[in-house]
Amino acid sequence: MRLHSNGYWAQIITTCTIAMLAFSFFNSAHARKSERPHWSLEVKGGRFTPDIDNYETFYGNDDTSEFSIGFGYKFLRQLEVGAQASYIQDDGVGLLPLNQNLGGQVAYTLVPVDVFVLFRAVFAKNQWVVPYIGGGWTRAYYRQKIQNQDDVEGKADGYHARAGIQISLNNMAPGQAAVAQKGIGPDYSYLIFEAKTFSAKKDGIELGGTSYLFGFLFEF
Amino acid sequence: MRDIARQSNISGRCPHRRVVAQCFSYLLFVFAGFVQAAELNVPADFGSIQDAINAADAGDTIFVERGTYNEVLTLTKDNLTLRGRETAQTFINPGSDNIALSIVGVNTASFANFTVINAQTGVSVSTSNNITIANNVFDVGTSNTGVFVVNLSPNVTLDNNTFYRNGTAVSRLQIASTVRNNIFFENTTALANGGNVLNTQFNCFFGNQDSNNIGNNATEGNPLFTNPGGRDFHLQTGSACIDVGTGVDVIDNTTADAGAYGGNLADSFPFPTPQPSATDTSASATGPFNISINWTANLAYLVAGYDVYYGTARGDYNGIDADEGPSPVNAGNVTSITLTNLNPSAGNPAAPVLISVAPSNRTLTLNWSAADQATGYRVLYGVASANENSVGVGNVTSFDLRGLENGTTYLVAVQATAQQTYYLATKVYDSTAERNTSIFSTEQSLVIGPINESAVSNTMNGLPEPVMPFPTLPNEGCFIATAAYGTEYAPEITILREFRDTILLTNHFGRILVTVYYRYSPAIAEVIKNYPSLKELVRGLLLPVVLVAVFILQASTLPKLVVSVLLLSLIWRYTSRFVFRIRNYRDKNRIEAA
Repeated sequence: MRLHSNGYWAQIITTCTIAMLAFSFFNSAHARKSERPHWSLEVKGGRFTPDIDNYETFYGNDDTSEFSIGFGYKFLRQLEVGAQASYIQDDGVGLLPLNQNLGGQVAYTLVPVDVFVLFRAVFAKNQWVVPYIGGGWTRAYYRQKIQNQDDVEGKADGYHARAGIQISLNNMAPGQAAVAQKGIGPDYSYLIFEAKTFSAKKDGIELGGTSYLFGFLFEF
Repeated sequence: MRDIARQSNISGRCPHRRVVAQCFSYLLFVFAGFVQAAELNVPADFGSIQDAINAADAGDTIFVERGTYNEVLTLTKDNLTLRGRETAQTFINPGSDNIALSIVGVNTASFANFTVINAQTGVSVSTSNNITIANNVFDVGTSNTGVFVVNLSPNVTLDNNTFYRNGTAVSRLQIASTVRNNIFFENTTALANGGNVLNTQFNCFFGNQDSNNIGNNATEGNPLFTNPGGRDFHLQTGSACIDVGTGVDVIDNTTADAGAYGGNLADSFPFPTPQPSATDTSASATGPFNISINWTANLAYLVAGYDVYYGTARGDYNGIDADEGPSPVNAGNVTSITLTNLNPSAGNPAAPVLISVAPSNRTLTLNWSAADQATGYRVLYGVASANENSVGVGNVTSFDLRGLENGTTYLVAVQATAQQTYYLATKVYDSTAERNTSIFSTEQSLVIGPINESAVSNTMNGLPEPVMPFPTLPNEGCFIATAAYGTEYAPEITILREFRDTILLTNHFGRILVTVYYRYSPAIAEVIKNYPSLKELVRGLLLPVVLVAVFILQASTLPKLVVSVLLLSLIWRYTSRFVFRIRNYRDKNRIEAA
């Protein structure tokens, strides 16, 4: 029984290896632990453009909205591993081959779940702008709710890469940041601007695409 | 707006201009003395009771119409009267953490004819004097307090209230207070910390855990509320609280009853019946046309009968065509009546225009324009002609025509129909000389009579077929059967799907089965897909399931009954045999042990 592709295992092994290396590095550095935060929470939203031809014909636009939430553990302020899930949904129509027309309502939902490693170019405690880059394994769950038919459901494995910048809210508005730190508890808060691409194919059909996201990052 | 009527009996003349100013001042002074109290109406004049309180002056009366008022009220003005229009229909619901009405620092006020529900305290009186709380129902909650008096508030009078299943009905009454003609029903404590209550008398108590301080002339017995679950606290015949109070009932001029519907401030409205049911009992499709109406009896002891209202317009009961007489028909003290020989006459509807026919899997979705005077529509469809089949679809302008053959072109059209609608309601009346009536029950409607048809609309084609979603992805979903049969369009799958939708998903146990199946089937389906040899085995296992589904879906009642009896017989036979063997085995062991 072949449940997963070789690429899938390669991605898992790569991810785990990087995580273990980072963990070792963290352990060696643990003795000189600083006040750096360990956990991060990202909340993002934006637009997703599927990497598939004719999407606009069936769904009206060539892109749709995407919402995402992610959690990460920071071995260092520069190195983070974690997972995030996105919710992408669009409403459109299907194809009626005998009628040679479009018709029937289709609600298409895509939920990519990413396991990622992220590298952040942060070198100072109060750095204003932090560029970052990361990537990892992706499993995309899909569901198509079709008028008067059973749902179509499934999943596909692939990979993703993402890059962006984080702008420090602590520097931008130190007063509010201090209040937020008391109230909710994040040590650092950032605005995020991110570009992300993921690829996951099912029977040769590409489910992935490119996202442009904006949101907030909180480090605890 | 406030309607302040002013009057004066001054008719003196002022003949000399010099004294005009003096006269005018004098008139103003006298007018002021004769200004009548105003009547403020909620919600006609004010959006909330509190707004009316804020605008009121001493001596004013605030009348509150029927309805539920989710308000927390505070009264700090002297000499105001708050009255609900009807105790049973005028609710104050402040929320269980709040006091419905706080009376603070007031000299003389009256609060009457309300039902207070869901409150931490119904009425709280503090540093006030001469407060009357009368003919209210307090149903505030089993942990809460009906009336609470604190901080030197003498002369509080509680007349003819009903305290129903509260934590404490009345707490901490103080000097010179009066508790008279009230019903205390299943409160944890009826009267707590009575203090210097001088005048507690003629109250009716039943089922209170703590009934101390019951005072003089108390009655202990079941008040037999008519329908407390529906918040109808009128008394039934045989109630222990009828004619046991002091004073006179304003409704029937007899000795006052205890509770919210006795005494001289009681409202005179019987409680309405729930929505009646209506059935078309016409002799045939061509008449005579009859409607049978049934309603639930109102068991209150003063109820004498029911008026039945009917008509052909919503809320306007001007019917005159029943043999029983024009609306309203006095039905007497019964709970059903048949209006006979009605003369329904529907309009002639215009032909609708079929606008679109949208195909999908085994379905055509039709949209058409609304036709004048139509009260319903028929969808006509067929393969050779639209007139082959018809289905009534009610008064809608869109319909999903389901159960069609994929790949077959259908001709479809729409026809409007018109039939007379009758609107019906009841009122309860009492046995007094005034023949007091309740408000209307909730309206019921019924369509009866000959059906007028419009011309058939334009005809359109429709070709149902499965929708191919984009992108076209494989379904890995939860379908063991789909994996076994290789395609979701196999007839067995169609049967199982229909069985799921029409049998399993209509009951709780079936829904649990479906949920469990959908949770665990993906993994099994994955295995079946990857091992083709398993497909034959699973098909064989599924065959009895499919056969049972076909039987349940398509067999008529008699074969189902026969098979059910056979199955029960078999189960009984083998179960009893099994039980018999166990008993034998046990007896044998006992004998051997002995």
